[in-house]
Amino acid sequence: MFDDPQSYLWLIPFLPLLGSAIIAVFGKKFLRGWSHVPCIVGAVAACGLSVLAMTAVQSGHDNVVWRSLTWFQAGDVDVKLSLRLDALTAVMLVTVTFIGSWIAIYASSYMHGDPGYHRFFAAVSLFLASMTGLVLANNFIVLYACWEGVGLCSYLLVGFWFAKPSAAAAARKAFLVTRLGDIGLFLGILILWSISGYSLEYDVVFRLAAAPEHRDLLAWACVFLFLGAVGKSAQFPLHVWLPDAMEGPSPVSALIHAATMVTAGVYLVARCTPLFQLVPDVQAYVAVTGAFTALLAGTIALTQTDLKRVLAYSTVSQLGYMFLALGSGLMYKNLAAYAVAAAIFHLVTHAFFKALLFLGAGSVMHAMGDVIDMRRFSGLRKVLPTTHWTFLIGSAALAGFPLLSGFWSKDEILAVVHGASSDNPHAAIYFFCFLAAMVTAGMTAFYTFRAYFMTFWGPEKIPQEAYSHHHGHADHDDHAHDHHGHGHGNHHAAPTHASAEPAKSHFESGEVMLWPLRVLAVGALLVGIVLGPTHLFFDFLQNHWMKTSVGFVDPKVTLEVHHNIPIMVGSVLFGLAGIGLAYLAYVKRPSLAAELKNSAKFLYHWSLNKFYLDELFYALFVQPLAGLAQMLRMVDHYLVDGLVDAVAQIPVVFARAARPIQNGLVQFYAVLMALGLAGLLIAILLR
Amino acid sequence: MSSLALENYLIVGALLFVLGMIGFLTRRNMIIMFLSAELMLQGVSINLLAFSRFRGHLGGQALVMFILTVAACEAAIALAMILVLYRSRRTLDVSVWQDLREPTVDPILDPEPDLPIAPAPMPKLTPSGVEPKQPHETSHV
Amino acid sequence: MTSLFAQARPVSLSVDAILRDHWAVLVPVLLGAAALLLLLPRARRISPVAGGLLGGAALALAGLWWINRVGPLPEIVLFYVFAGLAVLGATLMIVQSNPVYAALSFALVILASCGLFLLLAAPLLMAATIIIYAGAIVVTFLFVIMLAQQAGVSNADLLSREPFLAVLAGFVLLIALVGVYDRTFDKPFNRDAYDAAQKLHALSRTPKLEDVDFPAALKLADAIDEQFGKQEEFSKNKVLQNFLVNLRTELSDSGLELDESQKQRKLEKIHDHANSLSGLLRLHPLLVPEEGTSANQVNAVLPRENVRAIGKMMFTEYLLAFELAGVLLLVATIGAIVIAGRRSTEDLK
Repeated sequence: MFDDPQSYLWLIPFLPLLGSAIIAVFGKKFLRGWSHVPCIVGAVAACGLSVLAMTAVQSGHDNVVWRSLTWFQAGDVDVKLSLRLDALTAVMLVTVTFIGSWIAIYASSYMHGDPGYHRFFAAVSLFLASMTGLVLANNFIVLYACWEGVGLCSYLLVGFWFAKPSAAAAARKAFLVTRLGDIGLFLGILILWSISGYSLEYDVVFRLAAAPEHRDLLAWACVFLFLGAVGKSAQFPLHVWLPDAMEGPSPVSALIHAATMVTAGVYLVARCTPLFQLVPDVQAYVAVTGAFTALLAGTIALTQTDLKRVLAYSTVSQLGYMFLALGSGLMYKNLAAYAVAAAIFHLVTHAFFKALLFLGAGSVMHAMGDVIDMRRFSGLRKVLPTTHWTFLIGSAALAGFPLLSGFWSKDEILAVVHGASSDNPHAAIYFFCFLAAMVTAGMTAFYTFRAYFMTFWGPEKIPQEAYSHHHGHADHDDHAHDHHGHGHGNHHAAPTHASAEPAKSHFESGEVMLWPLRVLAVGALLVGIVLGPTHLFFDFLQNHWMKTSVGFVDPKVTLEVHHNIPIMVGSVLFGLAGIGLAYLAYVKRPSLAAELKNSAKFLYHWSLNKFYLDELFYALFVQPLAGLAQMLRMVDHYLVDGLVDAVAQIPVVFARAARPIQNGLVQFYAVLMALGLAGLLIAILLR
Repeated sequence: MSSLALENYLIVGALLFVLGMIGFLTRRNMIIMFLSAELMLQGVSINLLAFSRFRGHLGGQALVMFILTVAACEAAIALAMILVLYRSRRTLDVSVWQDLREPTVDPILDPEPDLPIAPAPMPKLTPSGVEPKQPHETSHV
Repeated sequence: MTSLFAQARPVSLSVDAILRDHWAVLVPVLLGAAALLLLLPRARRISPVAGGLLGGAALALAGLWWINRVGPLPEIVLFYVFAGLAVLGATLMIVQSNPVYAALSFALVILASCGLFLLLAAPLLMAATIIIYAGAIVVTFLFVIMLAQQAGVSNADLLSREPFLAVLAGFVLLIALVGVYDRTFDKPFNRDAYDAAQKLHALSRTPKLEDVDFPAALKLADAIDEQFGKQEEFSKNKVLQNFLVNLRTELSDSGLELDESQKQRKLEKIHDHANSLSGLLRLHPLLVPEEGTSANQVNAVLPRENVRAIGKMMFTEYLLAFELAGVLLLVATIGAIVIAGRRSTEDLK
C-alpha cells in the first residue's frame, strides 16, 4: 500500500478532516477534555504519511497526480478533486504537518480548561486539512477552495475568544482584508482559465498560458495572483491584519500566522514560478513589494512593546524576504530555480524558528497571566529556564546568527537578490532591494534581541496577574487547574488562591508545552545546517520538482548555489551589530534606549504607530465606504423600503375587506368549503 | 327493467349524504351536528355497499366494516369532547366557540328567537318494572 | 317482465276449487278481517295483543304470498319503502328542534338504511349497524342529551346557522352528484351498441318463437359485435363477450323443428340474453363485473355465506387494516376516558 503514494495521498487531508468532524460532532458532549486526541492523532498520522510521501518523491514518484473524483462539471469545465505530489508539495506537507502536530500537542496543554476546548481543536484540525489540501491541490479551483478554507479557519481561530470585542474585530479585519486579496486571486485564476483553453489543471495552465501571444494577459494574471498572495501573506499594503490577528490564542499565532497559512502566498507564487518567470516586470513588482514590506515591518517592529506583535511584524518582514527572493528569480540570469528554492528554504526554516518563538511567547504569556506587554515583565530567564533557552535559540536563528537555520536561508536570499541586481533592465531596483534587505537583516537582529533582552534580562519583574491567574501544573495545584483553565480576560473566574505565591519554578509551563519548544528549538538549530550547505534541499527541489514539472523554462541548467562570502560576512556583521546594539540598549545601558528614542523622536513615533497605516487606511477606505454605506442605507430605508411597504399595503387593503370572513364560526367555514366543493364539481361536470 | 339499478342506491346514498351535510352546516347543537356527520357516513356506506353488490366484490362490505369501527371511535371521542365543552360553557351551542376569529372582527351574537321557550317535551318512556296498583275504577256507561 | 297479472289463468268457480287454488289469498284476508274486528274500540275492551298478533300474522302471510307470487317485485317495493323512510328520517332529523326527537329520527334512518343493506346482500353489516348505531351510539347520544340539556329547547336549537347558504351548497352538491350519475348511467358508453341491444331486446319480446324476426336480430347482433371490435374496453370484458356469443349461437338457428316446450325455452334464453346485454351495455364496461352474473339481473353475485366470506377477507386481505382498526378502537377508548374524565371545569379556563 505504501509503495505508491497514490494510495494514501488523499488520506493526508482526509485524516485531519475526519478528526475535525469527530471533534465537531462529539466534542462538546462526549470528548470534552479529550477533544485534542482526534486532532493530534490526525495531525501525527498526516505527518507520518507526509514523510512517507517525501521518501516516495525522493525515490522517484515525483510527479504523482491522484485524480479520482469529479467535483463538478459545467460545459467544458471539468473540475476534478485532484491532488498532486512533487518535491514542493512534499516539503510543504512535511513542514505543515510536522509543526502542526507539535503545536497541537502544545495547545492541548495551553488551552486546557478553556470552555471552547473542543471548538479550538475542531478548527485547528480543519485548518490542517485545508492547508494540506491547499498544497496538495492539482488545480486552481481546489487550491482556491482550500485557500478560503484556511482563511475561514484563521477567522474562527483569531476570533476564538469572540466575546472579547478586540478579538472579534481582529477576526473580522483578518477575514475582510484577506478577502481583498482573494478577489485578486480569483480574478487571476479566471484570466488563466480563459487563456489556457478553459482548463485549471496546473500542468495544462503552465503549458498553454506560456504561449507568447498571451503575454499581456499573463502579466495581469500574475499581478492578480500576487495580489492574492499579498492578502494571505500579509504584504504591504494588506499586511495590517496580521498584527491584529495576534488576538488569537498563541498556538494559533504560531501555527497559522507564522508557520503555515501566511506562507500560502509564498507557496502560490512558488508554484506559479513557470508563469512568473515569463513576466520580469511583475517579478520586479513582487521583489519591490517584498523588500518594502520587509523594511517597513522591520521598522515598525523596532518599537513595539507587545511581544507577540513584535513577532507578528517580524513575520511580515520575513515573508517580505521570501517574496523578495521569489521576485528576484530572473529567468535570463538562470536565477529562477535558485531563487524559488531559496524562498522555500527560508519558508521552512522560518516556520521552525517563528513557530518556536510564538510558542515561547505563548509560554511566557501563559506564565505571566496573559500579560504580553514587555514593559511589565523582565528578567525571566531564571523564572522560565526552558522557555528562555528555546526562545534564545529561536531569536538567534531569526537574527541570522551564524550557523543557525535563519543564517543559511537568509544568506541564500541575499545572494539571489544580489545576483539579480546587475545586467538586467531592473538592476537598479534590485540593488535598492538588496540594500533594504541588508538593513532589514540588521533591524531584525536588533528587534528580536530587543524583545529577548526585555523579556528575559534585566531586573526580575513579574506582573501581579501572574500570581492571580497563574495555574501551575504542579500536583498541589490541581484544584485550580480544573476550574480555571487558561485565563483569558472575561473567561476567567476569580482566583481562589491569589495570596498563595507559588514557587518560582512553578511559573514554567508544563512538560507537554515544553517538549514542542525543545523539538522546534532543535529544528531551528539544525534544519539550516543540515539542509542548506549540504545542498540536500536544493537538489531535492530541483530533481524532483523543477526538472520534472511542466513549464520551468530551462530546468536542465544545473542549480548553482551561490555562496557569496562577502555578502555572508556583511549580513552577519549587520546581524551582530543589531544584537550588540540591543544588548547595549536594553541590558548594559538601559538609558540608551531612551536617548535613542529622543534623538529620533519623529521616526520613533511613526514606527510606534505603525506608520499610521491603519489610520491612513481608515481615512482612505473605511470612512468613505462607511459614508457610502450610510447613504445607501438612506436610499434603502426610504426609497426601497418605501416602495416595498407601499406594495405590501395592497394585500393589507384586500385583507381588510376579506377579514369578516374570518369570524371564527366553524360552521361558516364549513359552508364555504361545501360551496367551494359544489362549485368545483359543477365546473368539472360542465367542462 | 325489472330489477333495481345501481343508481337507485347511489341516489339514496347521495340524498342521505347531502341531508347530513346540510344538517351539519346549519344546526348549532353540537350533538345534532355530530349526528349529521354520522348520517353522511351512512350515505357513504350505502354507496359502498351498492358498488359492492353490483360489482360482485366484497371489498365494499369490508370497507363499511371499517367505517363502522371508525364511527364508533369517533362517537366515543366526540361525545367526550362535547361533554368537556359543555362543562366549560354550560351549553351545547357551537356558536359560543368563535375564538378563532380575527381579533378585529366582532363576535357574532345570535338574536333571541321570538318563540317562547317551552321546556323540552321529553319522550314518554315506558316505566320499567311493575306498574303500581291503581285504585280500581268502574265505568257506568 | 313478469307482472302481477301476467300469469292469470281462467279459474273454475267451484268452492273447493277456489279453496284449493286460492287458500293462500283467503287466509291472510280473513285473518286481517278478524284482527280488525278485535282491534276496533268497543265498550268491553279486549286485550289488543290478540288483535295485534292476528294482524301481524295476516300481514306476514300476505307478504309471503305476494313474494311467492310476484317474484322480484318485493325488492323494488322494499327498496322504495326503505329509501323513503331513510330520507324521511334524515329530513326529520335535521329539521327537528328537539335533539331527542332528532336522535330518534336518526335511529329511524339507521333502521331504514339497514333495510337497504339487506337488499344489498349485506346481512352481517345490517346486524352490525343496528347493534352499533341504533343500539350503542344513539343510546349514548340520548344519554348525553339528557345529561347536558336539562333546560329545555335552547336558542341554539331554534335558530339555524346560514340556512340558505347551507341548503344551496347541499343541493348544488346533490345536483352535481346526480348529474354525474346521469351522465354515467343514462349515457351508455357506446350509444350504438346500447341502441342495438335495446332493439334486440324489443324484438325478442314476443309470445312465440315464430314471431321473432331472426334476420333482423342477427343483423343487430352483428352491429353490436362491430361496436365491440372498435373499443377494447368491450373486447377485454369476458362477460359481455360471452353474452354476445351465446346470443348469436341461439340466433343462428331459428329452431322451427323443435317442439313447443323447447321453443319456449329457446325464446326465454334469447330474451334473457338480450335483456342482460342491454342492461350491461348501459353501464361503463369497467362497471360490468367480470365474473358470474345471474342471467336475469345486472346484479353481480356475492358469496352466499356472507359472514364467512367477510371474515376470510378481513383476516387475509385486510389483516393489517383490521389490526390497525383494533388499535384505533383502543386508542379511542383511552382517549375518551382521558378527555371526559376531567372533572373540573377549571382545566379549560
